[in-house]
Amino acid sequence: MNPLICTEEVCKTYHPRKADATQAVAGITMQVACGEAVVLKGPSGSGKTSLLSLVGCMTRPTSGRVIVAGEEVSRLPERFLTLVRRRTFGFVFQQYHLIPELSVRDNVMLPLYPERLSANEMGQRVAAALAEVELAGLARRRVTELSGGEQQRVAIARALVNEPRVLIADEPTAHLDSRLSTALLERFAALKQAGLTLVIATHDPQVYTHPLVDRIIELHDGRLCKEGGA
Amino acid sequence: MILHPGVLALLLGGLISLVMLSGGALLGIRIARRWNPDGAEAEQLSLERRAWLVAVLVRWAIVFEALSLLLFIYTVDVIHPLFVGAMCATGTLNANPIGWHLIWIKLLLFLLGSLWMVTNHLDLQRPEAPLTRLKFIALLPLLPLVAADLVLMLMYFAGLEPEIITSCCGALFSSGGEGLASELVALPMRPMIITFYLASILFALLLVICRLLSGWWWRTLLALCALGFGLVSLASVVSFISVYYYRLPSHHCPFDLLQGHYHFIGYPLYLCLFGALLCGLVPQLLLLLKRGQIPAALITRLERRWINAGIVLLAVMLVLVSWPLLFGRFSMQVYF
Amino acid sequence: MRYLKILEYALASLLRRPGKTCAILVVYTLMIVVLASVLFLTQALKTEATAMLAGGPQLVVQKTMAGRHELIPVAEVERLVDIPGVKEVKPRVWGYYYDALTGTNYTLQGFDTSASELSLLDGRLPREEGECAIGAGVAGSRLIHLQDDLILIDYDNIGRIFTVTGVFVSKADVLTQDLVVMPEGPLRQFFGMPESLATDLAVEVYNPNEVDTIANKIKRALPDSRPITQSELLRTYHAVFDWRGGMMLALFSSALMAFCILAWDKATGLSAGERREIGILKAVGWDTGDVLLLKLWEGLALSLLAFLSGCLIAFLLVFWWGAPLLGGILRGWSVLFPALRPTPFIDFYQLGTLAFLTIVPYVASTVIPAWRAAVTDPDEVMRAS
Repeated sequence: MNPLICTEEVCKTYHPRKADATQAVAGITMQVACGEAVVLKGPSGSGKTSLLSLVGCMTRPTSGRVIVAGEEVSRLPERFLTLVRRRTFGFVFQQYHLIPELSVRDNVMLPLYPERLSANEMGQRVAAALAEVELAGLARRRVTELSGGEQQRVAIARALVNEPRVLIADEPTAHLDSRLSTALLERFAALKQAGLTLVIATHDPQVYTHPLVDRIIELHDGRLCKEGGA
Repeated sequence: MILHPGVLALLLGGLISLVMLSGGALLGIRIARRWNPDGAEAEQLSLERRAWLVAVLVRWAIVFEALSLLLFIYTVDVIHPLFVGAMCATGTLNANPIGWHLIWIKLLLFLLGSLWMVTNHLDLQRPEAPLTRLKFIALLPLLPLVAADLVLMLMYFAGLEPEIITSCCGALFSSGGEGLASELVALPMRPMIITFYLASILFALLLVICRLLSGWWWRTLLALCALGFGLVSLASVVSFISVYYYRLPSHHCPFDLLQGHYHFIGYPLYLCLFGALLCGLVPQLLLLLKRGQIPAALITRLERRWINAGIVLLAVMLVLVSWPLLFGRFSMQVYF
Repeated sequence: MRYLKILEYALASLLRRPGKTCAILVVYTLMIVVLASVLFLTQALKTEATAMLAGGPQLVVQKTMAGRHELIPVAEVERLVDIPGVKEVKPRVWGYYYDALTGTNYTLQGFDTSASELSLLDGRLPREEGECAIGAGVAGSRLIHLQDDLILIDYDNIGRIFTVTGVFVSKADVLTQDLVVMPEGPLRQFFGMPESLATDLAVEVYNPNEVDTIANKIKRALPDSRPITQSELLRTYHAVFDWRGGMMLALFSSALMAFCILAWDKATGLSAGERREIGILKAVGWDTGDVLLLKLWEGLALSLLAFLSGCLIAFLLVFWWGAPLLGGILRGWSVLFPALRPTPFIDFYQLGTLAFLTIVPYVASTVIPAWRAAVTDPDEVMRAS
C-alpha cells in the first residue's frame, strides 16, 4: 500500500544565505502509512518540529521531496501548499497558539474561513469538533478563562474542524500533568481508531510508550538515527 | 483650472496609479528574470511573495484608473459652466481637444488592465504558474499608457481657457458640422438601427457558438466581432440611442446619459457595452494563453464563465436600447 | 461567502484593537471633515451665488472711463431699447456707503429697482423721502429696529435722518444683509447724483439664449460701456469659489501626505500580537490571499467609517453651524458678513471627489504594509513563539 506521507532525503536549512544559517533537517527519508500513529522522538533541537513542518506542508524543503497522498508537494507554490495543508492536516502546536481575545468557538472556527461553507455548515463542523473533545459547554468562553488542559482540547478541536486525514501534534503533553496526559493519549487513541493518521513529536516517555503508537522514529541533530516499532 | 477639487482628485489618482503600476511593473520584470520554479527554495519563495505584491499593485492601479474615468467624465461636466458656449461635458472636452484622447486612453487602459487581470487569475490556477514571465512582461505596455494618461490630464486641465468660446454637443453632434461626431449624427437612423441589431445578433450568435463549440477560428471571429460591436454600439449611442432617451431629435450627446435627469441610464448602458466587449475578447486571450501546462478543462471552465457573463450583459444592453424604441412614447419613425 | 466571513473577522479584528483603530480613525475622520467642509462650502456658495444671480437682471451695462466704472447717462436707454432683442432697459441707482461708526460697508439701493422682489420684511417698504428699509445686518450692527432713525452722512457731509419703516428679516439672505433701500429720488439727493445719470442700466432681453449676441451689439453701440451678462458673473463666481476651494485643498496636501505616512506607519507597525495572530491564521490554513483580503477589508471598513463620520460632521459644520472658520476664508468678503446658512444638499459628485481624495491615498499607503503582513511565514512565527 502507498504511504500517506513520504519524505525522500528531505533537508531544511533556515536562513540559507545568512551567517546564522541552520540546517534543521538533514536528508531524512521516512514514511507514514494511512491510519498509523508515528512518534518522532528526540531531544530538543533534534529537528522534530522542523520535520513536522515539512511533513505537514507548513514549509517547503530546501532539498529533497515530500509526497502527500501520492502528490509531490515540495515545489508547490505557497497558495497550493496551504490548500493541501488545510485539507489534509490538522496541527496541534506545542504552545497551542490560540488567539486569546477570541472565544473557544471562534478559535475553532478559524480554519473554516477560507473554505466555501455556509454559516450553517461552519456551525455544524465547529459543534462536531467541540463535541469530539467534550467542550461543547464552553463554546462561548474566552480561551484565556480555560485551564491548560482545556486549552489544549480547544487546539485539538481546531485541528479537527477541517476533517483532516492527518493530525500533527508537537509536544502535546509538554504543559500537562500525567493525568491529563493520559486523557489526551486516550483521545488520540480514539481518533486513530476512527481512521485518523497521527504524527506526534515528543520526548515524553509517557507518549512513545503508549499502546497507540505504531512506530517510533528517533532523530538526532536533524538526522534519522533509529526507526522501529513501538 | 488645476485647482478645482475634482481636477486635484483626478491628478492625485493618476499619480498614485502611475506610481503603483510603475512599482509593480519594475518588480514584475525583476521577478520574470529570476523566476525558476526548480530553483533555490528560499529565493523562489521570495519571488512568489513579491508576485503577490505586483498583482495587488496592478489590480489597485487598474481599479483607480476605472474610477478615474468616471470621475473625469463627471468633472468635465461639472466645470462646463466655466466655459462660454459649453452646456455639458462635450463643451468642456471641446475647449481643449486633448480631452477626447484622454477618454480613449482611459478606455484602453481599462480593457488592457482587465485582460491582464484575467491572465493573472489564470496563471494563479496552476501550481507551476506557467504564465508568470509573460504576464509580468505584459505590464510594460501598460506603463506608457498610464504615464500618458497623467501627462495628458495635466495638459488638458492646464490648457483649459475659460475665455475661449467652445462649442457644445449641439454643434459637435450636429449633422451639419465637420468631424467624426457630425458624420455619425448625419448617418441615417434606420440603417444605423439595423446595423446595431445585426451586430448584436452576430455577437450573440458567436458567443453561443463559442459556448458550445471549440475551435480557434470561432474565438478569433468572436474577438473581431466584439471589437466591431463596440464601435457600432458607440456610434449607435450617438446616432439613435441617445436620441430616444433624450426624446429630442437634435440631442446626440453621449455624456448626458450619465446625468441624473436621465436617471443615470448611461451607467448600466456603458457598463454592459464595455463589459460585453471585454467578455468577447477574453476567449481569444485564453486561446493565446493556452499552453501545455494549462489543462484544457480549466480554460474551458474559465471561458464558459466569461461567455455566460457576456451573453447576460449583451442581453441587458439590448433591453436597455430596445425599451425606449419599442415602448417609449417618442418615435423617430417619421424621419426614417 | 468567503468574502463576507473574512469581512466579519476583519471587523471583529478592528474592535479587538480599539486603541490603534481609534488613533487612525480620529485622524482619518478629521482629514475628511476638513476636506469635506471645503467641498461642501464651495458648492454651497456656488449654489447661493447662482440663486442670488437668478433674481438679478440678465444683462447689466456699465460705463467705463480709463478702465474704471463711471455713472452712465440715462439717455443711453433710448439707444439700447432700439437694439433688436432688447425687451426693457431700466436705469438703476445704487451705490456703497462706508459707515465709519461700525467700520462696515452698506449697499444703498434705489427703490424703483428690484427691491420689491427681495425677501421681506418686518414692516413695509419706504414710500416717502426720509424713510428707508434696512437689512438684518445693518440693523444688527447699528442696533436699530423698526421706527428707529438711521443717520447717514451724505455727499455734502450733512447728516441725513431716515426712519426705518422695514427690516429684511432673513438673517441668511445674502442679498439683503447690508442693504439700505429708499426711494430713488432721495437716494439721488443723498449721493448727489444728477437726474441725467444712473449707476448702471439693467437690460432684459426677449430670448435669454441671445444675451451674448445682444451684449456684443451693446458693446458696438456703446464702445465705452461694459456689458456684464448673468452667465459671466456666474462663471466668475464659480471660478473664484472653485479656485479658493482648490487652493485650500492644495494647501492641505501636506496634511494629506502626513496622514499617508501615518497610515503607512500604523499599517507597517504590527505588534507582536498581531504578527502572531497572522502567523496563526496562516498556520491553520489561511493563505496570503486570504490575509490580504482581511487587510483590505480592515482598510475599507476604516475608510468607510471615517468617510461617513467625516461627511456627517462636515455636513453639520457647514449646514447647521455655518462653517465658522472656513466660511470667512472662502467667502472673502469685506462687507457685512451675513450669517451663512446655506441650503443643505447631498451631491454625489462631491462625495465621489472626496472619496478619491481620501480613500485612494489611504488604500495606496496601506497596500505594501498589508502585503508585508500577509506574507508572514507561519513556520517562522510558530517557531519563534
